[in-house]
Amino acid sequence: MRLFRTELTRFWSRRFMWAVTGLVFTISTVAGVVVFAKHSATVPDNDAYAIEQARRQTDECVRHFTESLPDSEREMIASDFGFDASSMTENEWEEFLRSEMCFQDPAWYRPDDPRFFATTLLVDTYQAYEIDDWSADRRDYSTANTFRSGVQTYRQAEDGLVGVVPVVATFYLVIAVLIGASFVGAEYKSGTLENLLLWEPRRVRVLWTKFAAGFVSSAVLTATLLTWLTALLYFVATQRGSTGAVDGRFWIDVGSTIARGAVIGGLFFVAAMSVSVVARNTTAAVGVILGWFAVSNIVIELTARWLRPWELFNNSTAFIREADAVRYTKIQGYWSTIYSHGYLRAGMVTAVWVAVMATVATAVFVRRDID
Amino acid sequence: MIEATKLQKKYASLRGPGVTAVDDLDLVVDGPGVHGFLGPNGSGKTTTIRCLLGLVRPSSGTVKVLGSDVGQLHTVVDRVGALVETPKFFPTFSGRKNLMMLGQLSGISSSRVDEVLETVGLENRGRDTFKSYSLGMKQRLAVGATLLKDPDLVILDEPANGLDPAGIVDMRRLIRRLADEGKTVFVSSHQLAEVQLTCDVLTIISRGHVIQTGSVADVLASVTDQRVRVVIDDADGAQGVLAAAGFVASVTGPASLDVVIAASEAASVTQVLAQTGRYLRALEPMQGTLEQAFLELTEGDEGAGS
Repeated sequence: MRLFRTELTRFWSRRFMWAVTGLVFTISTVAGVVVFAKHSATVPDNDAYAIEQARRQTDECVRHFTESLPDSEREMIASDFGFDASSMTENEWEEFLRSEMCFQDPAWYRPDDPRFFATTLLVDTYQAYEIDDWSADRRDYSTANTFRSGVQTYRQAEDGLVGVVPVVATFYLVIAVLIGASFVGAEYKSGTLENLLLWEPRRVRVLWTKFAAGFVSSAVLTATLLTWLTALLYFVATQRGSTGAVDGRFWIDVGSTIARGAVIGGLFFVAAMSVSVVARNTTAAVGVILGWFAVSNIVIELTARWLRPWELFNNSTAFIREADAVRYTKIQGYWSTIYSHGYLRAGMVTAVWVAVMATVATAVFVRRDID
Repeated sequence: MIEATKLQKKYASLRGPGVTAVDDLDLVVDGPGVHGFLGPNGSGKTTTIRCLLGLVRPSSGTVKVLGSDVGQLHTVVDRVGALVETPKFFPTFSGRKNLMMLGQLSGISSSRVDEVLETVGLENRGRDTFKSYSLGMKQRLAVGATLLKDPDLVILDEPANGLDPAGIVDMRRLIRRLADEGKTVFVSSHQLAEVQLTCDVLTIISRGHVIQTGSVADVLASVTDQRVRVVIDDADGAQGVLAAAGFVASVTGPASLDVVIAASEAASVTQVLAQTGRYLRALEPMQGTLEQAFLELTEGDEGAGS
């Protein structure tokens, strides 16, 4: 327990950790201010505006074709629509233009809703304003909807939540990787790992205590940053938008998304630290993990499609987003991605990956000479 | 306190046959007192110390510290304080915080940390970051870390590195004080004069194995107490007489010469010279220095380890 407390102390005392956290905190705050500035609580009469815009465009079009079109072209155009221009009066011609040639749908001119919807925290912008009642509508926007009914011969995978919290949580993995890799990388660089082993020579205990302290701290850090962003954007929604759809179920979904993001944040700390233990270098460890993020899907697509459902990054993001992990299969001659397993199993796959990495790191660390 | 038997450490190399840093080394350190550990650069001192502390896995042989095998080091680690090579601390943490974090591992109080900082003369710089310290201050902080646990066995690898003359004197006093308090101090050093002044027992290693061990006096005697200085009016004439009698003698001044002979047999020199009517004004055994002993014992050695 003393060792655990010491590692917690070190985690929360590190300047690098605070520098990264401060940067993310600042970016989140700036983003919140920008969102605040770009939205308005005033709801215009969108339908009236759209109808007026469509009418103006139609009038302009009608005027153009009425005043400037030669008779020969008028007949050609009318015939394209199945009319005979030679038998049409001027009023009929204008009516033809208004209803066929120059028709403008008011829906095309409906402006974006200027309000910021709290539901954007969990679903994308265009879905957010359509949701009136989160508990009732969430099924349409999360994994629990109808695609897995089994009616089809294959099970289509769900994209899961794509709102601010799940997407940002995915990006926060980078923070966990940076802090995890540098946590032990800094100890190798400064030589303090040697100092520590002079006080606690049981290496397995040392390493796994670091894993545990790092997991907990990284999870707390990720949850805190996500909660800060959530609080900021919810505040923006109260001032410059709508929280009408928000109910208890919404907060459960937000909370569980943050919790899943926190768990993955903790696991990626352990993964990055494991690589750093083997590499004995922060930069190399960060390079390996972020490099894998960048190229894993390309490599898998080119060489081992069967690996797709079991790849670390895909499973971790699926878990955060409450989405399905996918596999490749040929449908009507084309490669497509379909359902492989649900988000809970994706979380377990991620945990197994990290456990294997931690075990390899332990095996290396126990045998390694510290000199 | 420390017992190493047939200790060997080989480092494999992809580009060659590898390196044997420690080879068949037997070492016994009894306490209390100060036990010096000397050897040329690369003779295997630090590797030996790392093996003792479980930082490096020996290729073969056994190591016991305070009666425990290396695998059971955790049972005695609270009684061992060690400094290996350079001071190693988190650069952006203060000296005090670095010690506090180490102390936390053994439940050591903050007042003990402050006490140790005072002992090593850093009480006014404890809250400064480690990276702002001079080399000597870093070294003193590292020594402070070894003292935190109030250990029975203190292992110091080159503790005087980077210290100024006053710091070296302080270090010597500290080591002596620890020994006087009943602790065992195992210290490797290049400061031969310091070792001679500080240590009770010496072990000299070369090429990874022990070449001499014993009390400082015994080690000096075994190598350098083998000549006498003769003070006589006609040094050149005396040298001729002695050479004719089979002695190895060399003139060192108009009225002095050195004769290679054990002090216990110096009477024969007196006898030979008296037989030719030459009478000594003085005859004294020459006391060698540890530096002489060290150089003679390790002459031509270039160690492979570190």
